[in-house]
Amino acid sequence: MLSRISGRTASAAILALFLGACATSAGPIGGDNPITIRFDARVGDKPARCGETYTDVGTSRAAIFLQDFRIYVSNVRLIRADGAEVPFALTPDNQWQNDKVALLDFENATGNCNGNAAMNNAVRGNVPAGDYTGLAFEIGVPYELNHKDPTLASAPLNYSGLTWPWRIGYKFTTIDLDTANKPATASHAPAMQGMGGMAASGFSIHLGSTECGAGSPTTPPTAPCDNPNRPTYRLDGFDLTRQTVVLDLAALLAGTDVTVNAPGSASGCMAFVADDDCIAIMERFGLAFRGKASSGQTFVKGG
Amino acid sequence: MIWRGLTILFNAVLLAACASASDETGSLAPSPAAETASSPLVSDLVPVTFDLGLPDWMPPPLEPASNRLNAAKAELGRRLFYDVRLSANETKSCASCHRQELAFTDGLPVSPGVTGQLTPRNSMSLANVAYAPVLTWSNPLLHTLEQQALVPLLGQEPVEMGMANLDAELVDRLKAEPIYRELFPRAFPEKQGEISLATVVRALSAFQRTLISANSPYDRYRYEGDIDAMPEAAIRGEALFFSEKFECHHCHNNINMNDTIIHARAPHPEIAFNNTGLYNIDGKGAYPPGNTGIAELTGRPEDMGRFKAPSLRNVAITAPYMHDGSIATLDGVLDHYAAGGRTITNGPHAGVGRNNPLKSSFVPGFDMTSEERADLIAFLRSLTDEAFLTNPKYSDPWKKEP
Repeated sequence: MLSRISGRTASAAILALFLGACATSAGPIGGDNPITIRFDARVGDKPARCGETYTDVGTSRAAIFLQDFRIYVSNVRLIRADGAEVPFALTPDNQWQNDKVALLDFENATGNCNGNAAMNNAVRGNVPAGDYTGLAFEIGVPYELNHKDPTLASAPLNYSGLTWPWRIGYKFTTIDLDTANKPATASHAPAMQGMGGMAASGFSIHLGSTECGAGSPTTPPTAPCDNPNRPTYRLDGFDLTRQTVVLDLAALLAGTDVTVNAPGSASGCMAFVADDDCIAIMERFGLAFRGKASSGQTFVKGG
Repeated sequence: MIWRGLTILFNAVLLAACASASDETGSLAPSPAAETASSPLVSDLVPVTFDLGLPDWMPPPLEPASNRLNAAKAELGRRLFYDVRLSANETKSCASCHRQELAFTDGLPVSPGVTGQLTPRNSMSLANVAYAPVLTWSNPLLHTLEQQALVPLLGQEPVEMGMANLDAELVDRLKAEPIYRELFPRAFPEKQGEISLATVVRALSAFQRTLISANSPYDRYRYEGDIDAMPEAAIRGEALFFSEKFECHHCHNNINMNDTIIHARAPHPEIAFNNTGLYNIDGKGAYPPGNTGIAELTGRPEDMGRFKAPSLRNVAITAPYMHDGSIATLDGVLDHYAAGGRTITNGPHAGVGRNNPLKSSFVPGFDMTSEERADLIAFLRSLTDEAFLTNPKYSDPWKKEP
């Protein structure tokens, strides 16, 4: 056992050394050669997948298991060695991406997941040839695509499980969790009245635009929503040839007790300004909430 | 152990050769790592090209490449659908439990088969059934109408049409019908007009794929810009239906007003099963025996009570409701969801569904004024497609014969 650990540690150290040496010498990429940017959803160190149980999540160190984990990514740019941001042209494939937005899909409809069997952990496209040392992107659906009737949309905007009424637009993140800490405990029972309760049987993280003006939920807003809630992530020193963009659910939930739900609010955090469950989560998405800026996102990192 | 360590080290050395041009020229990710596997479900499916009379906004459904829809097959399927010779004692046809005037449901909580045995579940509407990637209330393994047709025809628990072990008898009966001696060869020329269980279920499926409902007042309002198609109350009800307070849209939001769908514009089938807190017999989430949702097939305790959300098309005329027909009216359904799960005070099914530990978190309950209730009901009534209920193309063809 000891030899295994030490061997691993040593090789990991060597690997890190080599990777470090390579980061600035990858050479030009792009041009005629399509590029695949890899993503992975994780809970801490573990891949976030249907059918797995994850423990020690959030402030109550709860156990969770996935019901859904899908995310829209847009406005992808690569950062050139000279610091310039170069647009990354998505390759439309009529299933995972059009020319403006890509869908990452980490659920496969097994275990407790609803959804579909297919998965997608990458964004594909082209950039002009060059030396690139980083990556920037947004989580979200661009405004011009976000507020149309989703039943008329084409891929990847045609999954009914990922939609809100179109005044609000799409769920930029559809992360639905089942929490093991259920059912409601006796002390929470009196709060189980009306909409929401305190004890939660599940916890959802549905990021989307809010404050989109008055009017029918099935009509588009006349101007961009007050809270677009499309966080931008920039990974400098990210080696596109070797690294993966990691979306860490454990880090996103580090300040949240997923076993309770703020009274009178939607299950989990659905981005609404009145929902106290969103305070800690929006902070970690890197989004301002109730006028307070985030001190820095923790959800996305290079891995 | 040593080998593993060496392998890791070797990988590190390989990776270190990063300046070589070869691995920088193309796709940056090793292709096996990119999980883009398509569902095997869709590989055999192709868009229907037969003219279903779809409005422009409605995407074509998919069908198996091995059973393409055409006019002859649909006409044969229609004959078979309304033919009591498909049941053991020649008393029931498919239409016995799927009546057009009730959007192809039967108005009963559960349905009697040819022996009088009752099905455990409520007859589902066949409106737009071509868009369903899984069939029936709670069978995640049943993907095509061709497979599904065998269940009522041959099923022995419960007995529905009772044709198990009567295959030869079925063929003989159908061969004796002059109309079939014409229709089978036209529908299945590649099989020389074979009359068999295989061709029967293919024709039945073809007919069912023609059952398109896309002309409700709400369809005209939402998709065709006819703002006068719905009364004001229904328009208010639509806003409530799609509100975060009522959350109805979470499971009823696609073109068929549910969350399980596949069609030509949706390359991957969306499939969902949810527990809505209809029962909680033991306080641990139990549903009545024989109606436990997909847990019956998956064997997973946490799948107890997970059923498919039905399409809400024509919902005002498809009472009674829920998988077991246990709620008589739309008002009763609203009560169930308003409470965040039904409470049954007496009898073998007594329990507080609101506290079902396996209930979906999207069924938290809500407060509802009498005006809101009336508006929601008005909206649900606007989903009734009268043309579908009376379309002569879907009616009993045997009645037309002199």
